Amino acid sequence: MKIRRSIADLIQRETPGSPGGGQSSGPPEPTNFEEAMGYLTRTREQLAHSNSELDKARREAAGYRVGAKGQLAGASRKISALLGEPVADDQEPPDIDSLIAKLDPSKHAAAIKAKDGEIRSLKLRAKLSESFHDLGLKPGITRAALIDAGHMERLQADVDKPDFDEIVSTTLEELAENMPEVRGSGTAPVRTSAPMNHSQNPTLQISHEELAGMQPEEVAAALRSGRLNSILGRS
Amino acid sequence: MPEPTFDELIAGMTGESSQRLAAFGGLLRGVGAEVVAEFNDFSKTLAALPGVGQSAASRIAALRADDSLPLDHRRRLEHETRDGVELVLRKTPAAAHQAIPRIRSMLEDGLLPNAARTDAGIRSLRRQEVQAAMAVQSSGTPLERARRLVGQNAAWDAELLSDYGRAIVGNDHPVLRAEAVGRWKVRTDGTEKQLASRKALAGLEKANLEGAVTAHLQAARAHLTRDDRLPPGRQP
Repeated sequence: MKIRRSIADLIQRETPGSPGGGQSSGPPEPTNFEEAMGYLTRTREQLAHSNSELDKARREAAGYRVGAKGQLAGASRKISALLGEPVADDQEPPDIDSLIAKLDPSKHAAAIKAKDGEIRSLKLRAKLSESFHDLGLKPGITRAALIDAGHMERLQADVDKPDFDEIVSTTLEELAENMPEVRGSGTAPVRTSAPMNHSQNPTLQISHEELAGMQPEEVAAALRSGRLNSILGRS
Repeated sequence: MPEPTFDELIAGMTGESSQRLAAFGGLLRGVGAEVVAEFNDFSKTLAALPGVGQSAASRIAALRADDSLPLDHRRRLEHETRDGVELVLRKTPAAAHQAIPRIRSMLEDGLLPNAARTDAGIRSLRRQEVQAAMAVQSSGTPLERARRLVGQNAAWDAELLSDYGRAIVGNDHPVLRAEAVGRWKVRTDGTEKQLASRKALAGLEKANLEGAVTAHLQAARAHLTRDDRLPPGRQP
């Protein structure tokens, strides 16, 4: 009876709107048996109502817990699938912390770098193929010459530069200028007969009269091509 | 100290300039195929020069030694050979000298910003920017205004150095170009081609291509006159 009394006091103090709620003075003491019984009845009703509300709150919280657990499990399954480790519906999903650890960017730096290198390599390869065709270069020997001269590494490092196209075309044109062997494919006309050797063809040798009327540039070109051999006394 | 041999003398004449040429050739990476082709022609021409004198001298020596031919005929052939070689030795160095400003000009073209690959719409906007920047200046001829702008913005320079800039400053365009070259030479930024061209232009000054032409020409003349310097008794 003493304990019930204490509960009744407690409920009355904490229930807003009830007589004496939140007040330190408390309800008036019953003066007779009927009043005490009435008071006890009301208290029982309030306690039952409180228990009912508490039960509802517990059920709601349990529902939230179950829902949250389901959502977490769903998220874990999706992350696992994105990481390439799908989890079947009937299997327990992996711990979210272990998945987050796997998503840590620092742990993927090497893989990202490898992919980056692959992308750069593919981009360079595509650009080179296009340029080989445009400039009429032999792909195999040109590629080998680029590697041999150390151009390939430099070009791969320049892939992201805004003037990458210009760098590639300049490099290839210079290579073709210094190494004519790389020319000869693509859309360029293909020679089907033996090449003429001007330097050994006496009919193309320049005479003294022609030499006198030639411009300096023409003389220099003739000297380089061997068409002055006759004048210079070379056999 | 022993007297140097003839070959050592020739090597002394051309060796240093050949080294400078090779060093300059090494700088021509990324500057464009046209410059490389022009320099290759220049180098080949110079390399062929000493051989011109050498082969002519050999032929003259052979003619002098060939007693089976009449003397008058041999002298006529020698005269013809000398005339031909003199023409070659006069015109070939001239061609080499003409190539030097072309090489320089090509390198300067590579040094300056170029708008050729820029989208037409963007170029139009940049031209409007240039017009606005020139209009802001209160005084000066179009050339003076353009000279003040040059070197501030690579995109503006590309337009000012194009036909658009030529239309603005007219016949003074070479002056504007020279101003731009001077400013871009001392900058440190730019595309790969611009960086390579800047480096090559600096190397061009050190290479002394004019000196190399003279050295190789002198080597050719030394070959040609080698036997002429011998005492009469030792001449064939």
